[in-house]
Amino acid sequence: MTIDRRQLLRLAGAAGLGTGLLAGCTASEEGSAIASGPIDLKLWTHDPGYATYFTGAASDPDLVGGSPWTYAVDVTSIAPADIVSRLVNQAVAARPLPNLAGLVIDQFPRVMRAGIAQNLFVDLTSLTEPLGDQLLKTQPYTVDGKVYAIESDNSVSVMYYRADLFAELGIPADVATWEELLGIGAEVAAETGQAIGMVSNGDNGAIVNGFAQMLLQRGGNLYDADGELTVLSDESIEVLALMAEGVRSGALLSITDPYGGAAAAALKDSKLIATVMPNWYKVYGLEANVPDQAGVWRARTIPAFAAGGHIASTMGGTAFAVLKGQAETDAAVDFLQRTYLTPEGQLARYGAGAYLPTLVDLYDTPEFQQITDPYLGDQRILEVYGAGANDMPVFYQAAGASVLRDSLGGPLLRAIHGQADPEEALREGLRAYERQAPA
Amino acid sequence: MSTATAARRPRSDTHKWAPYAFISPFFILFTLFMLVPIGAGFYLSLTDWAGLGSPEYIGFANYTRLLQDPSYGAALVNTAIYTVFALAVVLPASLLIAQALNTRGLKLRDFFRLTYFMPVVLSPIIIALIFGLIFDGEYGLLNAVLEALFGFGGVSWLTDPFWARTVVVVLVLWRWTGYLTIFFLAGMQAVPRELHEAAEVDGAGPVRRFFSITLPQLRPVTAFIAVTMLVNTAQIFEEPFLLTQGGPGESTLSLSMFIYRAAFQRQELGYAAAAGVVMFIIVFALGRAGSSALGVGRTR
Amino acid sequence: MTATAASTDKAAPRSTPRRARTTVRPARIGLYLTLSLLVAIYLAPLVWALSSSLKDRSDIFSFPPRLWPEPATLDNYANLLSGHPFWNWMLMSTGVAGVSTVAVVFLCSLAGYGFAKFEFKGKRILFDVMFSSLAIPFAVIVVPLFILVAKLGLAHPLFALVVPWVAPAFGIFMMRQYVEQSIPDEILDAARIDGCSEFRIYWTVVLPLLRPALGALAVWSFLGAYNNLLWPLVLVSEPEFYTVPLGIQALFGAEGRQYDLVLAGSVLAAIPAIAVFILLRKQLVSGLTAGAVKS
Repeated sequence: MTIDRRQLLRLAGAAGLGTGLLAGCTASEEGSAIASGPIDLKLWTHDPGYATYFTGAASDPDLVGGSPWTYAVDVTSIAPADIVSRLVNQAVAARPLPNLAGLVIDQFPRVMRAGIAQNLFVDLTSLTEPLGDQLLKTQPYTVDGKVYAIESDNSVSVMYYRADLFAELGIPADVATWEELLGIGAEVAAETGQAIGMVSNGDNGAIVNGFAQMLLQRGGNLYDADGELTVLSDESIEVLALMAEGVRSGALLSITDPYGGAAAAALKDSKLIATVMPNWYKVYGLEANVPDQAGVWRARTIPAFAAGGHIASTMGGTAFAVLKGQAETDAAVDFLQRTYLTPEGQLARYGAGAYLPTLVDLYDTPEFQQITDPYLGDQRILEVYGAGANDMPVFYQAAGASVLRDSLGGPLLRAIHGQADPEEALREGLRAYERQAPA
Repeated sequence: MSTATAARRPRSDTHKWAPYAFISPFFILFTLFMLVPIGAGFYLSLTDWAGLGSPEYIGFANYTRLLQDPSYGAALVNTAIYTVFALAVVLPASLLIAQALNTRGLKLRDFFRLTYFMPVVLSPIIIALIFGLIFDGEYGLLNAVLEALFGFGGVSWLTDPFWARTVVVVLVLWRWTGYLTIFFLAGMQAVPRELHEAAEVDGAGPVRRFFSITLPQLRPVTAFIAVTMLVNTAQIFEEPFLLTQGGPGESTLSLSMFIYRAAFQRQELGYAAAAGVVMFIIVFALGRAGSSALGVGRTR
Repeated sequence: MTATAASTDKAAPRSTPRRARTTVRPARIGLYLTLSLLVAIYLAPLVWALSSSLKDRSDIFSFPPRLWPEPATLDNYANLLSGHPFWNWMLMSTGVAGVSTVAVVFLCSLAGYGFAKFEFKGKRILFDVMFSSLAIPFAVIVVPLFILVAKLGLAHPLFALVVPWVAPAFGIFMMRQYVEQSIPDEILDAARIDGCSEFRIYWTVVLPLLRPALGALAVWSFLGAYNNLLWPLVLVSEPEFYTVPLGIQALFGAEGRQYDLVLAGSVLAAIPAIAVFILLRKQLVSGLTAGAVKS
């Protein structure tokens, strides 16, 4: 439906006739949609990388050359949680809204209930459906079978490690399993106090995200494809026990905030010498905090769990949604499609902020394969990410996820610190969740 | 008193309606932005509403859900802890400091008084940021100092439930003690000196004078401060919101945060409104009971 | 009340010689030590914030902690001011706080005068209602109030940040106490005999006499509005209407909870508050306490 009108409009715009008439027709339902010509898109995001990418893309002929609109993008930087709050608040108050909004993955569940996504955003299923399985990470942004936002970054979790210190400490770079790595990590911690990984003990979001990252790798999940809770499983108990053991032995370092000052200091002091994190952490965690350690870091796929699972995981990500019912809506959909769902767009997006493609075929193309990363010692980095992307678990979420996060946070933290039995902690969190999850 | 003598004089017509005109702005705003919201809040609390679309009437379901919600329980308990602490520790602490500042012949009294008062002029967000810097569990100043002094600096200030609550409470103590001190100090300075001198002549020591003269004379101030602190701490928001986001888990979550989170982070306006109504009943009842028991705000 | 405070302050030294002889010296030293320790506790966090704001991002959490930043840098301030519209936030904050302060001072003194110097039907109950509203936590009304202003189309920040808050009950209470204590009825009666209208009496006779208390009320109101976070957080979505606390909060969130820029912002934000406080400290302290002490 949306695509039909959009294509019609584009056709009309390209032909240069009938635009006025069509615009007149749509005016009654969406406040005189602008069908072509110069257009100003307002965009909210928390991440300066997207600001760079979209502003650049707006005037890149390779990306938007064929569009009936000529774009300019006006970016407003807002913290992730506030973006959703303010979208809803502004909609309630009938105050100005942006045309495009970047929704961080763990904030998206907030719009999955009570028809908020349906009320606010354009259904983008018609853009994603033709791409089929080629397009990754649509599941987390699906409500009642419809996709409301398009992921920016595949967020493949890999293991980053200090190649220099690994060599110095005699840690092999190709350790096969977590169990093995934690064993080595315990020895290292006992000897030098250095840690080969971190867990967050800060806010509930960070705690649960860190746990989920390991759980996904192990083959578990918080929710299944139907939005049913699957937190309590043998996998989650195993993962939690493993994390607790790592923290106890010192192999895993507890850090309040994996992106904040404490992590920066741990990296700077070479106290944290390896960590499993998604690709974006290289930019926001490593490069931002310890630029002087360029060249000594490397990436590899994550050591597997002895009992099975994947060699990669995923955590985080930001998807863009188009606000519906505005004069700029059609233009914004077109802009998002051109910049996000085309190979050229995805390559340019990598260039702007090292965001990994969501089109799975692209990892094997020469354009991506030949990319090297100077911060990672000129490693051909897409080989690692590509291997990860090919074995990446699918992440599902549901409307109750933000309540789940707050219910699980405390019990998980206690289990990770060895103050509670893993299974008991999970059950306690679930009890709390069941008693307060919105109907 | 004075007003009574004024009332006996003959008056023009304008004198009759003038006071109503003078106080009317308050009552207009009070009605519009306080009474109407309270009423609307009660109505909202009977609905399920995300803000978009129309509210769905669900009776008292939000209230029964509140009763079972462990987060709400946690928020109530935490807020009660903050409040009880504010009344049981901050109040006596500021009384003691005031007593110290009231020492006769004390030099630099104004300097001390103003320094202690300063935190309250700063935005809570600034204070929370600074305390975050100091109490960081890994690299905070406090742990570093403890490490240097005692060789032990591994307290997880913000990530251990007990310590996190303690830090919030310390923040309350730091922020409010000096503020309350100036009230007590002003109250003490208003105690007629003759009372003390007479008691001294009767052979009463400083401790007895404190309990038999100063304290009773401070009753009105204490009452006023107690009620102010009750209402202020009951709605504590910024400190836990910025310092710990209510964590670890929900161990520092306050009632205000619970309401904010339900309404603006989870888009459950009806549920948030119900939590607000319950909070209103509790705080208002306590506040009024406290006020009338202690006689706050009356002149005659 | 200013008078009361001042006179007792003066009264204190008068008796010093007699007390000094009877006081045990060590006790006095202990007292000064305790009070100075408290000063250290109060100032240390502020000094630490100032010092940290002059450090590199990666030095803020360095170990061992250094009080004196090495190297000291103004980069955080420069980055904040060049990369973020800090002065806009400041303008918004001071503007909103300034406008509401003028309104607060006017409306509260008017109402306080009304309650203090007139007898009228329902005064007792109206006063009680007004005073009770002090016991209503803001969190109780924040949700319905937001819905209300949103649905009435009043959610424009410049309106909603100011108007609902221009007649605070605490201010009225404070003014009533002050008017009762410091305005003699005779002046008012004399003015009435001269044929002044009631409003004119308030404007030309009462208001000038209230000046010290107005200063206190103004500081109290200004700081309250300037420092407020919760209501702007709920109401203001458009960055062009950010206040300073909101801007700092947004910055903290957007910068991945890094302290460098927000500390610089905090220091700058604290300057006006501390300056206003230091300039008007006497009025503030005595004015604030006037109501409570004498009630």
